[in-house]
Amino acid sequence: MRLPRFFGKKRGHRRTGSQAWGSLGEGAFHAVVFCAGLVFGGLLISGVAVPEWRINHDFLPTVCRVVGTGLVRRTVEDPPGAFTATWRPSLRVRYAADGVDRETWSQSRPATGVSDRSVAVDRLSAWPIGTEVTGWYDPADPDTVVLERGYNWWMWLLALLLPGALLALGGSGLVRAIRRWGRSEEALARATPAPGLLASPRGHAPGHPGVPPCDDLVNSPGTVLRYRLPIESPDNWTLMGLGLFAVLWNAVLVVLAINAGFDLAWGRIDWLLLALIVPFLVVGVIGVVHFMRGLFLATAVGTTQLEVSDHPLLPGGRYEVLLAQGGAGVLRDLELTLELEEQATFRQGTDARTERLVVWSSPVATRQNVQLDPGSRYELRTSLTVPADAMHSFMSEHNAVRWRLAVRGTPARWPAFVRVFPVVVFPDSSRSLHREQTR
Amino acid sequence: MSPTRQRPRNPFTTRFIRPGSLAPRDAEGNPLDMAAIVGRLADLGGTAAIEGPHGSGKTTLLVAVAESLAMTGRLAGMVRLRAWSDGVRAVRLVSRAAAGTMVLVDSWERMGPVAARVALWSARRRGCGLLVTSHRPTGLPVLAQGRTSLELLERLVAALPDHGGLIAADDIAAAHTTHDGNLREALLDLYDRFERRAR
Amino acid sequence: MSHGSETARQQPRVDVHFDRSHRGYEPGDTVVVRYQVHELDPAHVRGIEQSLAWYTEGKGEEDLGVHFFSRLGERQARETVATGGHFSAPLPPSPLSYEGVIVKIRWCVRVRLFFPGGRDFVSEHEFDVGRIPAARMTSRASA
Repeated sequence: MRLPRFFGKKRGHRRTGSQAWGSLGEGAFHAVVFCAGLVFGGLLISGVAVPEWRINHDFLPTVCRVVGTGLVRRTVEDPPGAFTATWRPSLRVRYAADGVDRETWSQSRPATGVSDRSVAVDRLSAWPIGTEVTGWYDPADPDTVVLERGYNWWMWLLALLLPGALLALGGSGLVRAIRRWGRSEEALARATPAPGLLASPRGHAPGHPGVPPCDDLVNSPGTVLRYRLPIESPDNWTLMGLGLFAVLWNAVLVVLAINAGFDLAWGRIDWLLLALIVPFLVVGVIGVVHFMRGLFLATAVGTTQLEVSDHPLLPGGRYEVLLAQGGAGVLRDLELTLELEEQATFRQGTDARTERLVVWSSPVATRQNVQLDPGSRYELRTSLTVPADAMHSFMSEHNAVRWRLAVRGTPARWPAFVRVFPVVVFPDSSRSLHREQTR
Repeated sequence: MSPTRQRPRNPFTTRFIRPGSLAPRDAEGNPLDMAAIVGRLADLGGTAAIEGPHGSGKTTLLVAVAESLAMTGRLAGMVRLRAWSDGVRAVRLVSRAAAGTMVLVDSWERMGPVAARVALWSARRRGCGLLVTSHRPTGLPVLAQGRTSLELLERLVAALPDHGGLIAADDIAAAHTTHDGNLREALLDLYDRFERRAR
Repeated sequence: MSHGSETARQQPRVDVHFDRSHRGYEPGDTVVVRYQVHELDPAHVRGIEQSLAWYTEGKGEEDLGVHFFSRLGERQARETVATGGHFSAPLPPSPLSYEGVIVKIRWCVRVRLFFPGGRDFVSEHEFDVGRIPAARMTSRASA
């Protein structure tokens, strides 16, 4: 008998086992979370929300005379080893309830506690002895009286949000576990189509499973040809990240420096702080230098734009392409290439490892000694042909086959650059369908 | 016949080499006696670690132990630590495990020191066991030390589907040397070699 | 290709026959499959799932896309084990079978037999969709 496999990841050619154990474990975890949400929510509602509601709806009004004042002290250990006291004003009042005269300490909300005793004493001064105020007593327990009513809306929100999150998390997981209970890999895949690698409203092009949609690639009209292709620029994200890091890091450095400055101005020297500033300064300067260098390189070479006469592409199809390059100076080489790249993501131990490999590459156009003039752009118009037996674009959760146009340039005085423009190639069988759609 | 079925099948694809697809073996390549492993785990008090460098088969052994425990109903659950939230899941799992069951955690080095202490304390209090993998010393009793060898790699390759003679002994030795005994990297290296030769 | 588990109490064998002996199809073609289950007492089967699916293989995690799926209940499953089963489905326009370097796409028929206790047995049989040539490894590194 094969042992049950509950990790759901084995992709063996031979496969026997039970999905039941896996679903059981997952379901048990989510059931626990769900129950925790019920319990937590129940405690919050019964301990906070319901009493507050009763005060505002069930308690009966009465006239209270202040006959004494006092402070309620509450001590908490926060942080561990350190004790903090809060002071809450309390009034001793005399009132009539159910025809009986009563005298008791009024109840007030815990939120009225303050850490400063003098502030609490000041608050008490608002209630001189003999003052008459309106109070509300609990008809179920007439010895309980309050002098304030209203709602702590944030407490209600807390009562709903936190347990609500647990209920949602546990409930959804439980439902999912129940639906997955004992189901085969094929049944699960049938029920939940695998999402694509790109963030897209649809996982795949309509009517073409596994083919990525190209909505984002055809929503920008070209100036000369039909479509202008978006650029795939991971470098921009890296640059932004570097910039953000430099800003935040140097902001912390400034705060530390200001603190050190104040200390020095008062004649104190905090050696620890000064020692901390040194490495912070080094890292901060390096971060700024790297960011500025990256920014300069990104802007030194002008923008690259690519337009195509039609999209998506089809195997065997011939398309006009317009390459427009901005900037200044001379490009020793400028090359436009059509490439096919495979991408595979594998969970390598604790990390996800993504490997990319270009498996097909064909030059579309090459130029040498291209003169770039500021204020205008260099244009190169050419055509490309997609091989008749080309594999179509493909995308699944962990794997992809991607077509792209790559522009490579070597400026005379700057490092070489590569700019990539993704394109989508549909299967050849889409040819007649494509004609219908473009009419 | 199309190219997908004309060529020999690459035996080093992830479906054949991922943890759970290969039976755990010792450093010499001999299959491990899982009953003895589980028995040793009990002798160690139920809480232990499988330690070793990257790609030495720790997760493979952990998965095999999990299967053995599941057969006897003693598995409370298994967690692979990839994100911080997985550490929380691991602690929760331990805090709810029944006495006499086992919780398995992959990549224990990713547990923060506080979470790790909480998990260990919970396990002791609950009377459940904790088996973890780590590529750093954990301070726990060691159930198995991940060690690899060329012989082990050779036996793993022999256990995979037939490579049709496209991989020689020299290739296996070279992959083992290049990747310092990391079995996973060595097998993926052999994947590339196979692909180059199959084309 | 039918594979069983050496540790299963029973070791069934599933023979699958495609309507095209070379198992090569084009998008839009209808795949007609007949199969026979051997060495299995029909009384032991609780259900059968028949599917047409593609999956990826290579250096990445395997992804699975199910194009056709049907499940036979206990009575129907026992009849199928006794007399044989069949199903057919038209193929979608994509994905095509692809022999890449680090990503491969394969199509297959899967027949999954369910037994008491939640155990199951799956038999997988490949076929081809399209005629895309195998990819080559180039010297150009990815940008």
